[in-house]
Amino acid sequence: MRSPVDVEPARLLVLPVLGYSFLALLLTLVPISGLALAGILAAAVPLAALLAGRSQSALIFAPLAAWLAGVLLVLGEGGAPTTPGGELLGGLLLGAPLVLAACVLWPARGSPLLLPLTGVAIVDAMTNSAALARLGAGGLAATPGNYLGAFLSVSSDQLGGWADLVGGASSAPLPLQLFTDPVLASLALLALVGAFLAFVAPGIPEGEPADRPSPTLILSASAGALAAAAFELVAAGAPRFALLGLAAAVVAVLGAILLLARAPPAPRVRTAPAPRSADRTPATSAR
Amino acid sequence: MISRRGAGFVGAAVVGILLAVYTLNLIVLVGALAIFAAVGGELVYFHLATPPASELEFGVRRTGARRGLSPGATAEIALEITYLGARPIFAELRDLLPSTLPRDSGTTALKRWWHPGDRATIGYAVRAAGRGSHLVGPVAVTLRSPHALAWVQRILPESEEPIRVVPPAPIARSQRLGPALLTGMQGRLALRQRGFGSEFRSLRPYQLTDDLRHVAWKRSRPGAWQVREFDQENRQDFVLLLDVSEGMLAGLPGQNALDRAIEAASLVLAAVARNGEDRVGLLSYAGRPRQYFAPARGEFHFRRLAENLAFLQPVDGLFDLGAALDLLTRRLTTNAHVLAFTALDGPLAPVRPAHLKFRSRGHHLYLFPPNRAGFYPPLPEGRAGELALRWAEAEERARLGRSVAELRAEGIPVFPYDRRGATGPVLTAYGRLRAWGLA
Repeated sequence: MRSPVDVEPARLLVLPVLGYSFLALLLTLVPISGLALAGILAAAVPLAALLAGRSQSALIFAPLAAWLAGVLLVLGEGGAPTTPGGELLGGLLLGAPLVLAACVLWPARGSPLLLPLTGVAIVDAMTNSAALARLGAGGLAATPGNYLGAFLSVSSDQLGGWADLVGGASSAPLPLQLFTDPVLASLALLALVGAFLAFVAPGIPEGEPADRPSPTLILSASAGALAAAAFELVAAGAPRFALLGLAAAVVAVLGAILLLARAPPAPRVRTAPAPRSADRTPATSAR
Repeated sequence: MISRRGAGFVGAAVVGILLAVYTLNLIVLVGALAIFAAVGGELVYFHLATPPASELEFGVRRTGARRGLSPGATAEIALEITYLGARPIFAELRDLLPSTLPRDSGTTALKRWWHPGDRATIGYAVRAAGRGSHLVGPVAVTLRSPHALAWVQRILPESEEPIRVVPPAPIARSQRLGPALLTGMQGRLALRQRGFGSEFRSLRPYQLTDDLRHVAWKRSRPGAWQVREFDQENRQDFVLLLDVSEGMLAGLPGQNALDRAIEAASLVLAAVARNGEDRVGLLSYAGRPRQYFAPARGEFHFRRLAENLAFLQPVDGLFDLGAALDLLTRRLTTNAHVLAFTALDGPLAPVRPAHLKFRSRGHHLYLFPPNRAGFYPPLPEGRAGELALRWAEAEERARLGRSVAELRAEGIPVFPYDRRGATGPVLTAYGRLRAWGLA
C-alpha cells in the first residue's frame, strides 16, 4: 500500500515549528550578550555545515563542547544562571532549535529517527513558549541567563506536576499541557503531520504502487484521536488510571508484535557439492 | 519477523508516546498515538494476515543453465515459477546468487501479485568469476509489510543447482587434439614418439584412447577387445607441483596467478592423457603438502587430477620449495620431470641442498613463477593509487629478478609468466621434454 507520490520532503514540515520557536526567542531576548551569541553560533555549526554540504558528524561536538564549557563556568560561579556561564548556556538553549533542525535534516530517507526528533522539537518549542510566558509574567529582564532559569523552572514544574498525578493527585499544574500560543499549536500539528507523512513514505526504493489506496493514514489518525480522547476522558476523573491504561495498552501492543513476529527457525544452509574424487582424496595423503 | 526498520519505528513510536505522556498535551498525544497506532497496526495486521512461511508454496523449474562453465564465461539461467498457494499474495521471489557468480544481465528477482496457479519466468545471465563449485539458488520468497516494517521469508527447498566453474576440461581439449594424431604433431607439441617398447607386459581391455595397432586380435572377441601393453623405453613421468599459498592470488578474479597456473597444468594433463605411455602426478603445497597423487595413467586418474586441479583454492601457509622437493625425492620412484608453478615467496636457501639431492636421483625441476607485476592491468593516468601500484610492481619485478637469478644459478630452468597465461612457456617446455628429454 505504498503511495506513488514521494512524500519524503514532508519532513521539512517539522522545520517551521523550530524556526518559529527560535525567532520568537531571539526577538524577545535581544540585545544578546557576546557569550550568549557565542552559544548560539556554536549551536548553529551543525546546521551551517549541513546546509553548506559539508556534513560531518564530528561537528555535532561543537555545541556539546560549548555546553560543557558553560556547565563548568556555572559550577565555578556557584550555580547562578545569570552569571557569564549562564549566559553561554542560555545562548546554547536559545540555539537548540537550530541543532534540532540539523538533526531533522540529517537522517537518511525513511529513517525512524525523524519521529522522536519531531517529538523533541515540539516539546522544546512548547517549553520555550512557556518559559517566555513565565519570563514576562515574572517581570524579569529578558536575558539569556534569565531565560535559562525560566526554562529550567518550567521543566521542573512539569516533572513535579507529573509526579503529583502519578502519586494520586486529582489535578496538578502542568505548564506544557496546553499551548499558550495558537500559532505554535498550528505549527506543531503541521510538524506531526509531516513526520507522519514521512513515515508513510515508501521505505523500499524499488516499491511499486499498490492497487488500492492505503487506509493507514485515516485509520491510524482516527485511532490516535480516539485513544487520546479516551485518555482525556478517563484522566479527567482519575489521571492515575488513565496513565496506567495508556501504559497497559502500549505494552499490550508491543507484546502482540513480539509474539506474532517470532523468528522462524533458521533455514537449512547448503553448500555446493565438491567433486567426489576431491572428497575422497585425503588431505594428508602425502605424509 | 520485524525488520531493522520496523524495530526502529517501534522504538521511535514508543519514544513519541513517552514525550506525549511527559507533556500530557492533547495535540502531542493525538500525534504520538496516531503514529504508534500506525506502526503497531501495520505490524500486527501483517503478521495476522500473512500466510505462514510454510504455506508459501511455489514450484520452481530451472531451465537453460549449463552445469559446467569456464572462468569468464557467461551462462543464461531461466526459472519457471508456478504459485501453488491457495490465496493471493504480494511477494518477491529472488534467486540467490553467490558472489563468485556475478549477474551479467537480466534480473534475479520478481515482485508481483501471485494468484493461485500463476506462472512467471525469471531470466538472467551470470558470469563465472572464479573456479569452483558454486550453488545457484535457492529461491527466496519474501513478503514485506507495506512500509517494510516486517517480513516473512521462505527458502524454497530443492530450488538450487550447482554450477562448476572449471578451466577448459582437459578431456575435451584432448578430444579436440584427436585429429592431430594422424599427423603425429600439433604445433610444436610432439604427440607420438617412434619406438614403442617391444617387451610384452600384459593384456588389458581396450580403451578408446588406445592405438588400434596394439589390439590383440586373436585374443579379442566382439565387444571385448584386448590390447597388448608393452614396457616402454621412453616413457616419461611428469609431476605438476602447484603452490596454493595466498601469494598465488595476485591478479583479477578468475585470472589470477593460480588460475593461470591451473590452466597450464590442465593443458599438460591433457597432453599427457593423449600421449601413449607418459604418466602424470600432482602435488599441491602450502605450509604442508595438501594433495599428492603419484604419477599414473588411466581415465579415472586423469579425471581425478583434472577435477582436483579445477577446484584448487589458495589456503593459508607458505610454499617451501625445498621441502616440496625433499618430499618428491622421497616419494618418486622413477625419474620424473617436475613442473612447478610457484610464486617463490618461501625461503630459497633450503632449495640448493634439496635440489642437489633431487637431481642426484635423476629428477628434473622446471619452474614457472608468476610475474605478479604483470597481473594487473595498468591504471588510467592520474588515478588514485597509480603511484602505489607502480612502486609495488617495481618492487615485485626486482624481487622476482633476484629469485630467478639465484635459481638459474643453481641450474634450474625458470620460465616466468604473466596474466596472459602460462600455457605458452609450459607448452614450449613440454614439447622440448617430449622431443629431447630436456627443456
